[in-house]
Amino acid sequence: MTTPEIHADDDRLTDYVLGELDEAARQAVEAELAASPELQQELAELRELTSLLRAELATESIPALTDDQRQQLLKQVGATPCPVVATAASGAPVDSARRRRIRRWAMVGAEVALGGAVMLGVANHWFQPGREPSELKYSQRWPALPRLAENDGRVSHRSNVAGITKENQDPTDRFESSAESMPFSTATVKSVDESRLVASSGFQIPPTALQPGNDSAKRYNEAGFRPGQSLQQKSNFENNSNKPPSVGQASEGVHKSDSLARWERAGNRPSTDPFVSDEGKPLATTATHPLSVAGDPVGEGRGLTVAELQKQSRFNRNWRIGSESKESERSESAPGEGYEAPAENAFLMPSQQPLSTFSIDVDSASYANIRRFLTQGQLPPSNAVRLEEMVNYFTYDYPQPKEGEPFSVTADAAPCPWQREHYLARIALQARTIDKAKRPPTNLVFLLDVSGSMQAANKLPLVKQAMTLLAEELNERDRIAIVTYAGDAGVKLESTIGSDQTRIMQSIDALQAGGSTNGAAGINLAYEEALRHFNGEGENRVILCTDGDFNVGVSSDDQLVQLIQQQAKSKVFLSIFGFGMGNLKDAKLEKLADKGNGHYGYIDDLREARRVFNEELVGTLYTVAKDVKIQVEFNPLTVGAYRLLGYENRALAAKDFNDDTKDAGEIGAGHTVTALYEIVPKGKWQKTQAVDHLKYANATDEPAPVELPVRANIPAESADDLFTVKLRYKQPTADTSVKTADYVVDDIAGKNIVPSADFLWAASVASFGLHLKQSPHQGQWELADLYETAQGARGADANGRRREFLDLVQAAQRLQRSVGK
Amino acid sequence: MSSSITSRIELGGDLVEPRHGPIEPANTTGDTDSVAWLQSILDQFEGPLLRYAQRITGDLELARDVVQDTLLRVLREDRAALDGHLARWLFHVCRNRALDVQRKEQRMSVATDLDLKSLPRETGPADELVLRETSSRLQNLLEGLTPIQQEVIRLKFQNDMSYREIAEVTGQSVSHVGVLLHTGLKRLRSLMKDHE
Repeated sequence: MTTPEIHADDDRLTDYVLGELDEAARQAVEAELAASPELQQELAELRELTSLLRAELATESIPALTDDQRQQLLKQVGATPCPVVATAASGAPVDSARRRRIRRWAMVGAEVALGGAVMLGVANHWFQPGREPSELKYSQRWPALPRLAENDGRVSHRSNVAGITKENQDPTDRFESSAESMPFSTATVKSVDESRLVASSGFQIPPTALQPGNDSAKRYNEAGFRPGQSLQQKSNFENNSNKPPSVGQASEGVHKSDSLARWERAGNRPSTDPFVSDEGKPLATTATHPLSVAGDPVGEGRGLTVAELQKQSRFNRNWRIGSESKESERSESAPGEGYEAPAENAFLMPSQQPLSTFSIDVDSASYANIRRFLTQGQLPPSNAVRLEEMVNYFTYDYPQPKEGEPFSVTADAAPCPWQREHYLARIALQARTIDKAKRPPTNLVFLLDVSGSMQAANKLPLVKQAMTLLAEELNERDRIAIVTYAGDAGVKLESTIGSDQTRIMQSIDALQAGGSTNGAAGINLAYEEALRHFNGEGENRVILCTDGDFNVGVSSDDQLVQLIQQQAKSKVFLSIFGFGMGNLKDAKLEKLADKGNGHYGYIDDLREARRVFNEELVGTLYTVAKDVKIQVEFNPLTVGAYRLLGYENRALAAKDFNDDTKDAGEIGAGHTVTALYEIVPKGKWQKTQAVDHLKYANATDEPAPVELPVRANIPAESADDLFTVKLRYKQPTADTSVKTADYVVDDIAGKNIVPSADFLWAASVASFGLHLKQSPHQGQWELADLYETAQGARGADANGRRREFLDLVQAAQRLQRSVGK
Repeated sequence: MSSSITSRIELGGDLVEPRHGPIEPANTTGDTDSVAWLQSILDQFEGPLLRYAQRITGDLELARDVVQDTLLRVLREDRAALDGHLARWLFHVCRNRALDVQRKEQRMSVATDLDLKSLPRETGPADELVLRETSSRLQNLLEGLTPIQQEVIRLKFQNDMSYREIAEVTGQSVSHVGVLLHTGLKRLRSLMKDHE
């Protein structure tokens, strides 16, 4: 908790003089002031200047409106019977401006809806054959599940499962058959989102079919949605109607009309899977949640529902009252579609789903977006909060990789700060840093949106500033080209050698906004330009800067995604930077970046531009490994349940880990990636939480939870593992992946673990994200607790990002207080 | 914090000279409440908004149009909804209008609200700049700062806004407002030392 020493040029001194410090910081400054004559001198000078400024600026002339104008205003408030006519002269431009805006927003809604459709379209890549899954370390795999087609007796289907124990079968066959026998899994993926893949990783037992009809549909609704999902949908519902529906309404109305309908359209019959519901129910009612009532049975009758939890949540929706800004109107205008809305990951039991597989993600756009909302005094929409992007916004001090390896891996665990009985596990990657001087040559093509909407000061002018920053770093080994798209796409600067700074700067200066957008032509031109000067030894990248108004001239977002996907095969990477208010197109841009082997960032001011373009230039541009996938196998002997924090839209099916055709995230030089799991130790997870009471069978007939048998021959040294991590990645230009060594983390039960500052920092950021998400998993930590911990873990904070985070937590605290009143 | 900058501007009453008599409600047939509201808005904000808009547009006539436009808009707003942040609303709308107008008029080449990355290179020495006829030396020196630095300094010291309010008006982040003020004041001090 030591406050770093204040130096004379510390902005905290300015904040102090201007009365902008909170109590604790104020005292800290005063303490330092008392001890330092130098600081006192500084303070006196600063005070003198501020009072001088106040006095001087007060003397600046004060203009006034003309009498005519004042009369017109007066008429406007009803001083004449016909205000419209009276104000026609000056009123006209106002009206047309307003109409313009409305049109623009209407357009925005349509685009967002399109974007949502694309997300569904690309979500399902499920059945393609992959490499054989690797052998499990702790659990035995399930034997093959019978195919639905060959099995008309659904009940026997279930008993069949229960009866199977240790038959040996070919693992490939197991996967195929289990996949085919589970239309349900596919449906889940289609109807919800990719995050469900984690749950549908081929280890589910087959669906127990019910007769189609209302009841089964209802059962489906109850069973198929995890609380995280319902929560999401419910909050969307609220956004939409401004009137919270009852829980029943939410689950009946929203689910049925949307997901179920889509699922049924896909040719599926409703069924229910007790194990999907298993994941669902305990989440909301688990006794570990501080808000739930201990001893209350699982969601039956009076059990706490998600909605109730949400109501009790300290960050309830009242917090958003009074949010009148455009962002909130925009995000509410198309609920859940402008932002892709992944459910929160659920707690999963290693006895049922031992593998957790996901793609790394170095994006940080969500953080900048959240910052924007908070500094405007609003809570971000919970689906704009992506925990992994928050955690990964910060840099951490992880060990450098060994010679010849693209990144180092650190895996550890400590008690979970917000849920003391739980553990928090961390998997951390540190990519090799590249000395700027030794970096490989680059071949960059800037693809700039110069449509009319980019005129705003925080868009094209900011892009130009940011480009200038970047261009200054280039030298004779590099090339840079500038392609614009707007009306007619054009090459504004042909690929030019990096040392020709004059020409580059002139071209940047000459850029102007105007015209409409034709994204597709621009993309093609940009890739052509990049390929023309393709550098086999260096980095080849298209950098797209846009505010997201991107689809005039392409008939659908689908085509845009396809276009990007095709171009990505050329080994030219793609970075997308969203500027201005373009957070609206968040999901679309992120998706495009993903499909283009790329990186997506949201830039809201020059400081962020500097951070992304300059500080992270090396990391963003110099990929050290691509398609990096992480797979964690949890040990059922020590772990009762686990939950991945964030990465919902990065989830992969277990078998995708070994499938080199499956795309995943890339990691750039110097980047760090952090993933956190909340782990419930074996003894703390109560199985009874996992299963709903049955409706049709006798309670005594309740099937024992179907569990993967623990391997009989787990070596003694592995018995007290918590989990094992392995990674796969490809070299930047390779097509086949490499698997890393296994990283094993031991159980920490009974051990006195002191987490590192970076560990605590990441935990604090994640906890803040849980609060902002109004997650049912936020545990016992209050904002004040995480603030204190974060402050203690702040460290050197060379780039000031951590300090800014603390500001944001305080902003959230203030909002919280103002709601409390 | 949101103890309404309205009152602060009132306190700084020396800023608002009553140069016009009150609006005669002689021909008022409309909502006397609204008239009173407009009157109070004019009393508090007419001058400050005009001064602000004039800075951005560089032209008094344009500034007048912008402010009139802004006031016409506020009259269409739900008064209750603006309660407590009227000043922020007015300045924010005024700013956006002024930037729009300024761009259209192209009076200046993109006088953006960017914090340009290197002050010394982007801004010439103060004595090269056109000095405004009545401005003091300190005001001249202010011209040596970036537009956004000048803007936040005026919002802070002329209109007595908090970081948060300035952030809302200008669309910067709160902490960035702090940074802008800090660097602006620092730059101003060094300019002052140079000119001593």
